[in-house]
Amino acid sequence: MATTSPPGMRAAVLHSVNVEFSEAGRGQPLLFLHPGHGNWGDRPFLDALAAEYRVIAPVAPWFGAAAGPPKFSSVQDLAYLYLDLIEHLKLDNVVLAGSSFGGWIAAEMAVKSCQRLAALALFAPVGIKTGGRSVRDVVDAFGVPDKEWQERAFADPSFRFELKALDDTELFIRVRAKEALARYAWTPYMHNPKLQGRLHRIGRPTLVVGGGKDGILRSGYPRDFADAVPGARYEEIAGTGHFPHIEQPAQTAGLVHSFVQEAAQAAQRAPIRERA
Amino acid sequence: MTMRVYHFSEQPYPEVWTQPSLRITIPNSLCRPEEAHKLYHRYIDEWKLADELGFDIMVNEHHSTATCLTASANLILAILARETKKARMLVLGVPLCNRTDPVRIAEEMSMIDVISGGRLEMGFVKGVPYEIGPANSNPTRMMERLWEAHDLIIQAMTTHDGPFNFEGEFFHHRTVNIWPRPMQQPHPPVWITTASAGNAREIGGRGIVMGSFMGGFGETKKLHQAYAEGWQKAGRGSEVPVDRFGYLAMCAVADTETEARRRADLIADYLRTNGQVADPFNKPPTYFPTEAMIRSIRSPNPKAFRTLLTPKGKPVELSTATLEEFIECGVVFAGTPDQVYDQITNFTDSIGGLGHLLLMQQGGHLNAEDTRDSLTLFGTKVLPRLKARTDSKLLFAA
Repeated sequence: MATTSPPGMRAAVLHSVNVEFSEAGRGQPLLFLHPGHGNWGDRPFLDALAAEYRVIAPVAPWFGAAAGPPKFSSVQDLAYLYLDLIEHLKLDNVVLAGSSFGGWIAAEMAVKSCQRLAALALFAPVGIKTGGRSVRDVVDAFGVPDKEWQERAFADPSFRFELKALDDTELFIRVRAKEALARYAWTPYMHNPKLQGRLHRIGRPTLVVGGGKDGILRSGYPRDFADAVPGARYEEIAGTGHFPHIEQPAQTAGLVHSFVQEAAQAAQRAPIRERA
Repeated sequence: MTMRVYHFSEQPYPEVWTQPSLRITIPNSLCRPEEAHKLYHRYIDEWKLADELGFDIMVNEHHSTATCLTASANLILAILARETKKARMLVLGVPLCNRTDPVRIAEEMSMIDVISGGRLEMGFVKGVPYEIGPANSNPTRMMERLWEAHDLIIQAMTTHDGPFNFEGEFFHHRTVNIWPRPMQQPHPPVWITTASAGNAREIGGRGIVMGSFMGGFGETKKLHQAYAEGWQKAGRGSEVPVDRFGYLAMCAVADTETEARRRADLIADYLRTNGQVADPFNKPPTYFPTEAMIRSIRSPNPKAFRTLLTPKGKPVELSTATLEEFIECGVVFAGTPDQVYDQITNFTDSIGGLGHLLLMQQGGHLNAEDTRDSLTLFGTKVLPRLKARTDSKLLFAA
């Protein structure tokens, strides 16, 4: 079983909001935004990336043990917070990556400003609504039993677990994450109706990775997302569920790295005009 | 000041209570509208009988469920405003966190107050956990929404000089100006329910009537004490008039103890069916404290919902309790008229006095004939004695 991020997190206070984040590796900065279940299971992926990048992985307010800002209630709050974090850490040429709910936050950041971004890598992102109004694009995380949710989320049964089997710390984080997710994504459920119409503002190379056995997203949804971002590339990892970065950390990290390298080479050949 | 006694029914639809989930997911193909039609009229007639017998009446609402046909408390109350003559009419309550328009609630309640001639008791509730799903209401920040909605309703009812502006965090109205205004001035009495000491203190600070449900001897007294702390801290005095407290229990009366217990046992299915909710709608995130959610995940009995202690210290889990245990806890009053009188006065005296006794006297499979007999026995042989009581406490001393 994968584990949560280790202790020894760094923290920054951004306009009186406390943000905790882990940091590993050196090189081009890569900001990774965790999915709706928190940072559970992300360590092997982050370690794989840390061989090439300075990997910064914040834990969104309310997802940890501490109370977050009382008025934080929307993905917009998180998007602005992380743009502030990038500025605070004086990061530039950032690879912005996110899984599922974290992919949504990343997209919301990029439509606001790509100034400090180099590229985006979104793993089974949510955040837009492409199915009909009676079609569930994203399985109701608050409406299915945890067992069913895990069966849908993880193609490889070895990643599934009984909640009862978690130790107290892990279970606490798990329960807190669901509480936090409700705060940010209850309604409209897992999307911002305005986001799709703004995705044209993402002026950076974007990779969307889908899991071939993802039972959380409607089949075709990740590709819809890629189609909505100008010039985005869609890749699918056949054997994984909703979290390619957890089930296939090395392969997913490899995809990200080669995409970023290709994008950098392409940028050298033909610099992006609007780039700061 | 004498104790008021209310007749309450959830208007159950019991013929399908064998289903594994009675809420949220139970398809309405299982509802026969002809049967629902008969039941509505039957339950309304029982409230009318209660009114004639000198009871007050109480209604509530639930959604997507066979346990309660009252999908709108205010709708049934509007009918009863016309169908009854004397009873105080308590809605406990309107689920403030799950309704999107407090101004509309203020309008509905003012209408009911005016139609009934000023008989409305205006109860607001957070709503039980499995109401979150049907309402699609965000379970986070519910109490903040509840208080903002409450404040807007009271402002709407007490502003008489034309439209006012309200731009809160959750609710926005630029021209609030309700017609009619309520008959009771400045507004109908406000009730709020709770099961937590923290909320009880806040309610006490505001001096609002507090309703609590089936907490038995120990839990109820603790809530009243917490209320008194808030009351005192707000400078309202050292003692709380007992008309600030309402308590809900189940009750059945009959000529014989055996028959009364048979009836009460049917009503008690109301509590026993409490766990029949599709997972995970019974535990939406943040509705319960994080620590309580973790305890529930680790619990060997995840369907358990509330454990009470009898006065002798014996733990009783309400979802599986026997009738005898319900009676021991003060959650059910059942027996002959004399026995029920003794059980009730023993309970209310031991918790330090009570102004409003809310009694579920119809529940589950209890049929019309037995319900009417039970109501009539209580109304003629218990209610007059409770009303005539002169030795009951009027002030609660913490």
